[in-house]
Parts: sequence; C-alpha cells; structure tokens
Amino acid sequence: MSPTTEITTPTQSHASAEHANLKPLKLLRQTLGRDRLAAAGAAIIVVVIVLAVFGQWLAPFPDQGMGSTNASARNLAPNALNWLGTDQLGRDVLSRIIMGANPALTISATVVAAAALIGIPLGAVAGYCGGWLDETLMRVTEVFQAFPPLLLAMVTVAILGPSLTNAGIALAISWWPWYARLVRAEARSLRERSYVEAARAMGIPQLLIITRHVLRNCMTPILVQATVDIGTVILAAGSLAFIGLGTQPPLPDWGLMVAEGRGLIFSSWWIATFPGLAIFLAVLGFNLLGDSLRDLLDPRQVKR
Amino acid sequence: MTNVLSLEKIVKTFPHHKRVFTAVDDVSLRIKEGTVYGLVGESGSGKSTLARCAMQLMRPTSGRTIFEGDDLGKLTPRALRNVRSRMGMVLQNPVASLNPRMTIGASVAEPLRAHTTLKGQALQSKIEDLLDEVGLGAGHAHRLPHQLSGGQCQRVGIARALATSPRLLILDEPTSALDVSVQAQILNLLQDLQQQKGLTYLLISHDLDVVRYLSDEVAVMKSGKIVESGAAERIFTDPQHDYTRTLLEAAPGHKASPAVGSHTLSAPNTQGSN
Amino acid sequence: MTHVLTIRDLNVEFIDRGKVTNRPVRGIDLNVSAGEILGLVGETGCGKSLTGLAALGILPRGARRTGKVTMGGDPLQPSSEPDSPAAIVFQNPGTAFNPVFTLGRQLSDVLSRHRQISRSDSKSEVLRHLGLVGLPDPERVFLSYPHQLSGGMLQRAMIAMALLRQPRLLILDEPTTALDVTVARQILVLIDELRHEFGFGVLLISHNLGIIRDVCDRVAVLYAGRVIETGTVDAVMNNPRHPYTRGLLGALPAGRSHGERLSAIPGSVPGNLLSITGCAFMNRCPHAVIDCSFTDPFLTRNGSDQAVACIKEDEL
Ligand SMILES: Nc1ncnc2c1ncn2[C@@H]1O[C@H](COP(=O)(O)OP(=O)(O)O)[C@@H](O)[C@H]1O
Ligand SMILES: Nc1ncnc2c1ncn2[C@@H]1O[C@H](COP(=O)(O)OP(=O)(O)O)[C@@H](O)[C@H]1O
Ligand code: SF4
Ligand SMILES: [Mg+2]
Ligand SMILES: [Mg+2]
Repeated sequence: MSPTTEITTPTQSHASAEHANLKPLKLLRQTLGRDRLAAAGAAIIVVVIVLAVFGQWLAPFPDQGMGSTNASARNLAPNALNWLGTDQLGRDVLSRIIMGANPALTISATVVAAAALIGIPLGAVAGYCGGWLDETLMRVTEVFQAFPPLLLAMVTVAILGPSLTNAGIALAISWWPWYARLVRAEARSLRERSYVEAARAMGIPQLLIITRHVLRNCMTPILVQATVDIGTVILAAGSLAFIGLGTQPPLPDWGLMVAEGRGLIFSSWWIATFPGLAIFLAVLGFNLLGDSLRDLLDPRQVKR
Repeated sequence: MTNVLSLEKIVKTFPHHKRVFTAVDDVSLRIKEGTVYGLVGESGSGKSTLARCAMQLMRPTSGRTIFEGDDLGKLTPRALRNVRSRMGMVLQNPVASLNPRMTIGASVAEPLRAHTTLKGQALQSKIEDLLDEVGLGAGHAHRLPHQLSGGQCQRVGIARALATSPRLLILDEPTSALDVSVQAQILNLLQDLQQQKGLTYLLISHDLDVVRYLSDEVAVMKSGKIVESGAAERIFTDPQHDYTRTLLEAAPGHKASPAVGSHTLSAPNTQGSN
Repeated sequence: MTHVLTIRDLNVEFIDRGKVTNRPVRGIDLNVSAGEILGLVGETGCGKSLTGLAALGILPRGARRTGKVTMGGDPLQPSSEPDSPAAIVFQNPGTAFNPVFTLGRQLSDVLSRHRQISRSDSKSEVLRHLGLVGLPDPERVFLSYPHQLSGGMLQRAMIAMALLRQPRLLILDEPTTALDVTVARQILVLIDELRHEFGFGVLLISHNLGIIRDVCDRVAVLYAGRVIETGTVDAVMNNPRHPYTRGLLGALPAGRSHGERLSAIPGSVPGNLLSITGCAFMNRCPHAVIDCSFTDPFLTRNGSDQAVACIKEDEL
C-alpha cells in the first residue's frame, strides 16, 4: 500500500480560480470570447430563441404557420412570396419553420428541465450518501439506460397516446438517468473535498451539505450537459414526430414537416429539406456551444 | 486537570485488495484541558484517520472516543452534530477547505446558523468579530476564497472553527501548505488564541519543529501505532524509541554547522521506508 | 573553478496578445560552479521555478525570456535538445513518468536519445545508473511500472534518468517537497555524494531553509523575481543582512520555546510585479523608509562572500 502523499508545496496565493469554480455566466463569456465555433453555436441558439418567442410576428404567413391551408398555392418552389416554397397543402414553408421553433424549443427545454429536476436530487443523494441507496439507484438507472431512448419513448407514447406532451413525458423518462449518473459521479468526488469534510466537522445538517456544498459545485458540468441535451432532445422530439408519435398535424413541427415532405423529396425537395436543415442547425448550435464549454472545463483536453 | 478528549484503543481498518489494511492500530491517548497535544509522524502513518475517528467523521472499527464525558460512538446523529459545535477542526489545505462558491462571510456564518439563533445584524457583527479575532478585516467577508492568499484562507478556517466557541480544536497539518513566513503568522495566532481562551489543541503535523514549538505533550506515530509519547521537551531532547531518533536526525536544518562541501550529512537508516 | 552555468540579467515576461502581463523574473544574475550546489530559496511565487526553467529554455507557453544564459562559455541549449549539458528534476515524482511504460523502457529511451549507445549496452548502462542512485534492486526497478514504486524510489529513478545524460548541470526543483523527511534526507545525501563523484554543478530550488542550509554551498535568496541576498550558506544563514532573509529565518519555529513569538513577515508576496517601483519588499519591510519607494536597490557586495540588495544595508 503506498501512502497518500500529503506534503505539498505552499499554496500559490494568487492562483487563479480553476475553471470548475467559474460562475456559469463568466464561463459562457470566456468561451464565446476565445472560441469562434462556440460563438457560431451561440448565434444559432439566439436565432432559434428569437424565432421561438417572436415567431408569430416574424412569420410572413402566421396563420399558415399554424396550419391553415391554401389550396391555390400547393407545392410551389421557392419564389419571391414564399422564400422557401410551399408544401402540399399550400402552406408557406418558411412560416411553418419559424412557427415550429417554439414547440421545438419548448419541448426540449421542458424535457431537459424535467429530467434534471428528477435526476439531480436523486444523483446527489445517492452520490453523497453512498451505500445501498446508491446501489439501488444505480441499478434502476442502468435498467432505464439499457433501452434506447427512442424505443422507451415509443413504448410510453404507445401507452399514453401520441401528442407533443406525451412525447415530452416519454423523453423525460428516458433522460433523467443521465442526469442522475452525472450528478452522482460529481457528488462522489465532491464528497471527498476538504470543504465538505469541514462542513461535516462543524455539524452542518446533511441536507444543507448536499445542497450548499455538493450541488452548488456541480452546476457547471450540469449546465454543459443540459446545453448539449437541448439539441439532442430537439432531434429526438423531431424523430418522434417523424414517426407520428409526437406533434400531430396540422401543428407546425420540424420533424413532422420532414415526414410530410419525404414522399415528395424528388419533385418538391424544399418541403422536407428546409425543416431538416432547421433541425440540423439547431442541434449543431447547441452541440457546438456545449462542446466548447466542456473543452474549457476539462483541463486534460489542451487546445492546440 | 480533566481530560477533554480521551481516545481508548482506537482501531480503524480499511478494506484493501480483499484484505484488511489497519490505518490506526490500537491507539490510546488523553488530552488534558488547556494543553496542546502534538501528534507527529510521516505521511500515511494514520494521523488524519485518527483525527477523523476522534471527531467521529469516521466510525472507528473499535475503541471509544470520550469527549467532555460523552462517549461519541453512542450518540445519535443529531446529538453528535450538537457535540461538534463544541469541537472545531482546521484542515491542511486552507483554500480547498473553503467552498469556492461561498463568500468568506457565508462560510463563517455556516456553523453559527447551524448551532446558534443569531440572525441579521447580530449575526453580521459576530462574523466581523470572528474575522477580527483572527486578524482579518471585516472587508474580507465579501470575498471568495480564491481571492485570498493561503494564509488568509487558513485564518478563515480558524475563525470558522472558533465560531461556536469550542473548547477543543483539532488542527490537522494547519501550516503544512504554507510558506514559513505565513506559517509563523498562523502559529502566532494559534498560540495567542490558545493562551487567551485556554483552548485545548490536538495538533497534527509532520513538521517536528512546529510540533515542538506549540506542544506540551507529544506522541510519535508510525504505521498506525504510537511508538512513543510523553512530555514534549523529553521527546525531543531524550528520545527513547529508535524511530523517534530517526525522525529527529532526518529533520532538515538541524545540523549545528551546515554541511558545506563535505559529507557531514548522514542518511538515516529507515528499513522498509522505500 | 569553472562555471557550469552563468546567468546574466535574466528576465521572464508573460505576454498575452502582444501585451506584457507580468514580469515574474526581473534581472537575475547567478553562477553555478562545477561540483557546487547553489540553493535558490524564497517564498512560493518568488520566481524560483521560472528561473530554473528559463535557464534551460523550457518556459511555459506565453512566457518570454531575455538575458544571457551560458554554460562554460556556450549558450545553453534547451534541455530537450539531445546535446544539452543540463538536466532537470521536478517536484512530483509520481507524475513525471509515463504510467504505461516500464521505467527501464523510459530510461533506455532517454539514453538512446541523448547518447549513441547500442541496445544491449543501453540496458546495462541504465541498470548501472539505477544502482548508482541507491535503488536496492535495479533489475526489479527496470521492469517496474511507476505505480509499483514508492515516491522516494521514483525520485531516485528521476535522478538516475537525469544522470544518464551525463549533465554538467543538474537543476532540482523542490526535489524532496513531496517526500517524507527520512526519504528526503536520503535523496539529499545522494545528491551531495553524486556531485562530488561526477563533478556536476547543482541548482537546488527549495522553499525550505533547512534543506538549503543542510546541503548547499552557496545560496541566492529570491524575492519578487530578484536575488536580494546571496553568498555562502554560512554567511547568509548565520549573518543575514537583508530584512527579507532575516524575516524568513526569524519565522522558523526551530529552537523557539513555548510562548515566544515568531517574527512573522506580515503580508504576502506581490502577485503582479509590473507596476513595482523601488524596493519590492517595501510593503512588508520593518525598516522601510521613504527612499525605498524610489530607489531600486541592486546587489552590493559586502566583503567577499555576501551581496545584499537593500539601500539601508549599512545601518541594519
Ligand atoms: N478512506 C480511506 N480508505 C482507504 N484507505 C485510507 C482511507 N483514509 C486513509 N487511508 C489509508 O490509511 C493510511 C493512513 O492515512 P492518513 O491517516 O491520511 O495518514 P496521515 O494523515 O498520517 O498522512 C494511509 O495508508 C491511507 O492510504
Ligand atoms: N503560466 C503562468 N502564467 C502567468 N504567470 C505565471 C505563470 N507561471 C508562473 N507565473 C507567475 O510567476 C511567478 C513565479 O512563479 P514560480 O517561478 O512558479 O514561483 P516559485 O517556483 O518561486 O514558487 C508567480 O507568482 C506567477 O505569478
Ligand atoms: S530597500 Fe528599504 S524596503 Fe527594501 S529591504 Fe531595504 S530597507 Fe526594506
Ligand atoms: Mg494527514
Ligand atoms: Mg516552484
């Protein structure tokens, strides 16, 4: 057994805070400042958010965006009036993409929030307390993780019936174990920190130790994970809609639009292509930002 | 004089590669009120593990911890939390022992919130008093740990340990991470506090000079056992155990005249240390 | 005696986007003679490690060095160059080796990179060096992975690795700080013996005054990137002239009795040295006068074996 070496050099008084200690906002600012890809990702995200919030006013044909048809203008190629063309029911594709941003973002943010709300407390308690509680929780998450998220979601939707809300519930069910495991791993390492030991030595109640010392210090990796996941959930929700288990027509949904246009991909390519591109860009945006945040957080990955 | 803390036949084992590793092996010691008890030994000898057992941060495998008359092993978790307000602990790495996201003021307030009913203005002025007592201005209350030097962080650690007016402080390598200049500041502070308040210290260190300077009684630990203990001056001037002698000889800076360009250095004979 | 290392007016600056952000080493002069151990001592952040790295030309990214570093007349090659006459040993023996290769493999690699030696001779040469640094069973160490050895053994292996390059200068940056006192003492004795045997010069960096006193011939005390006092260990340790050196020695608890106060130096090392004018020690110095804030004190020789950078040196 090699003893743990505890003798260290004197503490560097002016050592800058390690990245893991940065406040989320400061971290974001730093990432954007030094990383072009991250900035591009952030720009895309801002556009998606703006579309989601102001879509009604930005879309050229808001009522078509919500589903009202226009039989006289079916399958029009991109033109001066309909910049991205119209679909088989004569609806403006651009308007439907713009109006689709809101449901896409709402569902993904809700799913991630729900998954985090379930996963974080469970993971924190399991990681901090250890023992049988930890064992049990980890076995449960393994069972959930053994199913592919989409399969699990399909089963859930099959039981609850297809709708955007049910697709959201389904996705949250398959997503929370990832947060539980992430937080558990963080909590297990934070539990060994000196300041946690100091808090225990001061007789601070466990619940306070978990919230104040453990949870508060694993917020940054959670934030990174959540950023990437919002993109992933947009894709997953799109996939559910594509196979008919998510948003139902005539509501605007990027995945649903791809499904509606796929039969006409050779004659009217724009109907499926542009919503597909929207999904692609949104997912890319969240991934770029999330990956850059992760790189910045992980000191082992040196940027060259 | 009464004993503030008595450890009786403490054993602590850890599972290790399907076998059992004994980190603390049948250690007993008594610390008298108002004295400083020094514990020296090389890293891995079990000093920190013993300290954790003394505070019941870890349950000893066997043995009893008696603190001011209470057998800590028999207390409920709640009662144990309350007992901990009567003991304080200061850890080795001053910066790491403060939550990086909590201001200094919030860190010092934490034990006060848990064990007293102080609130609002009364709480703030108590925090200021505590910071003042350890030589930090009240202005430090709003800073974060990484904005302070190692020495300042250790002052915060001491202020926090003193918040609930404990009678016993367990100091686990309180100056090992500090430069000598800053170490001297902290040692002076610890000595002043001890004399002013009549505190009792369990001082753990691998630095013999530090232990000798502060301690009244000393125990030397090796491989989980106390090999020698007694009055501090006696241990340092007339060591009885071979290992104690080895440690004293190896300590840097103890040659009367430095070994300039010659072989006046002697390598200690430590079997099995590497 | 020949100097194996001569440093003249060494400066290290950190540069970010074309702007100098810090200057942690500010005009250092040092000599190390063959067979001599020069100690470099000072608080954390004084610039000890950067001085050692700069001497070898292996600075961290963003750092720039100016000044002259020569070795017996030749400009010093970065220590990563095969024909560099200098080798460095760092503080942490645990992280210095690659965990996935045996020590024998890693030491042989060093040998083949720095000296033309056949594979079969190489093994015996490595084994010889492992024996030289006092490792009890060189064959076993040769086949071991780093995690199978203790910190003390790894530090010996590090020194063996440095010796394989037949250096004329060995830089040791806190070589024993991560080790227990008894092991540390063995390593220091080893270094002391080896430099007599091979005649290389040693630059020993440490924040521990006791270690410096025990093994060094001469010492340079660093403060805020400057040598503020230098001389033989005898002179500097027994008759410190600079207020900082006095402060450091006065802060040691050794030999102090109960109740006696240690003379702690107030405050801490300045973090950024760009804006400093005058004496950098002024805000912590008990003897500071108004002049200290204008005059930048330079090293002044005092007798033959000591030099001090303090404008009030005469009066102290
Ligand atoms: N939680 C633990 N699990 C397993 N082994 C431990 C644990 N804590 C300490 N040890 C082992 O116990 C021994 C004593 O450690 P420690 O008490 O930290 O020594 P010291 O404080 O004297 O340096 C070491 O060999 C260490 O590896
Ligand atoms: N990579 C770096 N970037 C910026 N500043 C640095 C860096 N490394 C060191 N420094 C500065 O140089 C000073 C001296 O560092 P160092 O040589 O490591 O000190 P020492 O070895 O004496 O503890 C430090 O105070 C720090 O401010
Ligand atoms: S120059 Fe002045 S401030 Fe600097 S050490 Fe001398 S007396 Fe002190
Ligand atoms: Mg310890
Ligand atoms: Mg250094």
